[in-house]
Amino acid sequence: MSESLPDHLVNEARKVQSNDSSLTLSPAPSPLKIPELLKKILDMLPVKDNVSAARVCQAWKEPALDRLWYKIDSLVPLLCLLGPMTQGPDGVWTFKYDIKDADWSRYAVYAPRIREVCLHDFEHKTRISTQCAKDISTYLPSHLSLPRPASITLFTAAPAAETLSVLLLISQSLRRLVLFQVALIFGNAAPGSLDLMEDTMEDVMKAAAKLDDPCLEELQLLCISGGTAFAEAFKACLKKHAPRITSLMVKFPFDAQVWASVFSLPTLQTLVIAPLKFYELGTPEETIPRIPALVESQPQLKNLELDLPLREEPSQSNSPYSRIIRDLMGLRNLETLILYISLPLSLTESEVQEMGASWPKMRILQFENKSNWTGILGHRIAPQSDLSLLPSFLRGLPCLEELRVPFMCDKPLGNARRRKRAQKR
Amino acid sequence: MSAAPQVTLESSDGEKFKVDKEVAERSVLIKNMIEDVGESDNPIPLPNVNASVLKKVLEYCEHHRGDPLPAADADPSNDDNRKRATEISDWDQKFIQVDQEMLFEIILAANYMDIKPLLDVGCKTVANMIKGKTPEEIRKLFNIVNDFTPEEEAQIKKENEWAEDR
Repeated sequence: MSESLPDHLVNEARKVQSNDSSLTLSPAPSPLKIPELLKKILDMLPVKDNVSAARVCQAWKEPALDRLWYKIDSLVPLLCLLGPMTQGPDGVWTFKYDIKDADWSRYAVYAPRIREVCLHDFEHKTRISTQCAKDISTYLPSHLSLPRPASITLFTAAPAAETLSVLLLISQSLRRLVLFQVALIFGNAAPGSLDLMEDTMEDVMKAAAKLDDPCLEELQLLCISGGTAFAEAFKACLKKHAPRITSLMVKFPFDAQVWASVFSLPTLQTLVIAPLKFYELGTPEETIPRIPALVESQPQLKNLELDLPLREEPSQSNSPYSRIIRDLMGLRNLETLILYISLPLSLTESEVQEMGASWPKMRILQFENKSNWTGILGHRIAPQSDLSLLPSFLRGLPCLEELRVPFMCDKPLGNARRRKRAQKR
Repeated sequence: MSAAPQVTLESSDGEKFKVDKEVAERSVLIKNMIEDVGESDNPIPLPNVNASVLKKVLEYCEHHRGDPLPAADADPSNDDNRKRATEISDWDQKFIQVDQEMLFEIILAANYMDIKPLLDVGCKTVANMIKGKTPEEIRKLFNIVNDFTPEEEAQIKKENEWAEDR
């Protein structure tokens, strides 16, 4: 109808419509003109395509730059805005000239967009000189701030003092801290470097512990060495942020005292824990009594991954894992349970029924006969639970989406069972 | 066997569509409306969606009627989520092979009707159209006017060059 109306009347009508919020009719714009949809589309682009997108027009510039600078894996691009930098023979970046006042205006356009920093200290492109880091914190104009990322990830394999530039970035905005000692992946840690890496991780945790208020929601630690001082720094960090932590991953050898401090986290929902030394088996006497403490202090826990490979004791008659599973039945809100086992586990019909009664919300249940963290133990355990238990799992755990149990199967599967299993998978 | 419950939807141009409630409820907007007003025989008006678009949207909902509902808030900044985000299933790919005007209308309708998986497919398709193009090619594709001075554009390029090899 509007086609027959003069343009100015159509425009008037549109104005009226847009002023009257009760009218839902409006001229359909392109989704590219709706900021939230444009952002969604640019977020789906590979990062580098946002360089082109930022140059399309003014309206695209902001969301494209937000996306480009959301996550950085080196501080060098940011520092390059301040002035030309050069890379020394050791791979470390330094400023060519002193920073001038005008240089900070470029810095201010980008620094506040950074929300995630992921650094690998073994890659030269990420390493800046200590002097560089000092220059920035010294000459930063008072109205500007360093990036305040919500997430910091540090992979340390060849630590140098420069890594500590990450310390400058720890602020009250931090929600997620991930510290991984990755020497093992490369298998070529220089003598003494494990200690250096541990020191770096320790310093970062200490800095996080010194923040004024608790803010960390997620903490992930992986450290092969993890000595006493490391454990102390971890405890201090955990103590500070205890009220906010919902997700915790701790993989380093720690004792009962540290174990106890892990379990005073009132809002913890997800816990991944591997408290043993790499390639070491725990003793059942030491390990089993720790479980009831966990159950008692973290009854709200939703997701639990326990990596507890245990040594075989000649005296034990039942599998220590039966006992551990029984204790874990006290966690009534569990939705995921992944238990790495190193000894045979033979489940009975009544145990499976009890699991059903104890874990009504269980979605993912895995008893894996291997260990992810504590090392490949060199042997696979023969499954002992009878496949005839499968229907009991399916009946007893109504929310089950994934089940991994080493079942024993000495006769071919009937069609009905196979179908049921397929459905559940 | 009793027939599945049905609802009637009315497009902006007055066309009525009778569909299974399960199909219509792929739209969170409609699901909430049905929950709020209870079941009734009155058609549910969709004043922002015309008949040709609504037909297409319902085709999508029909095909995906049994799918599990999407997770509430997948973080798009997460690399895994983004990787997943650029993949489009074969059926969806065929479904979304429409002209640009229809593609944009589907995106707007999916946004209005709150059908997240369809909105994702639409946005992914637009993202795929942008991928690998120069700023000028993108402007031409979507009929966008360049409102930068050459200096401004050059500066953005210079300050963000580092990201081009990512």
